Amino acid sequence: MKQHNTERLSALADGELKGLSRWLAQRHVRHCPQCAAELQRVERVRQTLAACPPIIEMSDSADFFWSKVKRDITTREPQTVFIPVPRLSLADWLLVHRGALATATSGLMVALLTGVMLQQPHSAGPGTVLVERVDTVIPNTVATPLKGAESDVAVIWVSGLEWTADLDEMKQRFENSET
Amino acid sequence: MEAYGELVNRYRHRVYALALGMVRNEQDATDLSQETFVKGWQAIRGFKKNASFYTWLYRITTNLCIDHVRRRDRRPTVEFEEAMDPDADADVEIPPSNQPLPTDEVRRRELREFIEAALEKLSPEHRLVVQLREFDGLDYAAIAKAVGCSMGTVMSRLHYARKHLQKLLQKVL
Ligand SMILES: [Zn+2]
Repeated sequence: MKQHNTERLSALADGELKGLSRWLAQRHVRHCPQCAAELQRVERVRQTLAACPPIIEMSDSADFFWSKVKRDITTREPQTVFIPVPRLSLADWLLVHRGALATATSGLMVALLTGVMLQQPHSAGPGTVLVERVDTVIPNTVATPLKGAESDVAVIWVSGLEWTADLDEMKQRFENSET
Repeated sequence: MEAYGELVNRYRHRVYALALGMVRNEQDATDLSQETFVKGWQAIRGFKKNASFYTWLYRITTNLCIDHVRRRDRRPTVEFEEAMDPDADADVEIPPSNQPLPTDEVRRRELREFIEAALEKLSPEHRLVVQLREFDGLDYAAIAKAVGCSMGTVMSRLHYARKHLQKLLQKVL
């Protein structure tokens, strides 16, 4: 943890730091009276709010409120609205699933090597394999698109994804994880 | 449809509390809660079973409230970090300390009112993350999904909201 990173203290108090970052933050707090005091203040705020949560309830009774909702549902023109299920950004997704990254990284490397080897005959011509690596927020991990000349050979490998030999499936998993 | 009525009944107070925190008007919050559940019904076929219904519902509520606030009040929202005004906290009433010690119940009610007054002082964005985290118990990933921002933003907003609350609740901490 960098010096006096108080934003991360909030995350530490919430149990949102895991693994190495949690260990580093705890270690810093043990040796830094300033951050130890700040962490204590954060926890006092949390305890105070938890002790007396505001009671906010709508004044409509359950039956009355439901009758209004039901009336609107039935009287409005029937329509289907699409509201996407909220998804995490790739960076957040990688943070959340960092536990799976280590095991998947080896799979990624195998996949990369296999992909490159399969493309070897074209490597000097127009079918040259283009490999781009994008650093992720997790140390030592990368997101790697593999692009072949053929339109039906375009695969994106992301460390953290469960390995599958089915390229379309892997691509789909990447797309699903992206946002 | 009656099964949906059960869901409405289960979540109506939480949706209302969320809306009230954002629009600060009881009638508007009730209307927006109603609209949330109507929209939820219209969209429920697109809802994936493995996602959290609660988070999804929150997303509908926050979208409706943001649109409502934008329409109602064209002034840009000022983030606490940018506009911390030391005088802004002056009118939070706190229980006078020299009065006879009230009973636990009265004391608790006063504390609750004090906390509610403090929460009122937060910006809508900060109040929203505090509510989702402290009162609804969502983790950062779920808050990020519900609010539609990154987990880093959730962490930052919670941090500044708590700094502000430390100041506002100083007398009772
Ligand atoms: Zn420190």
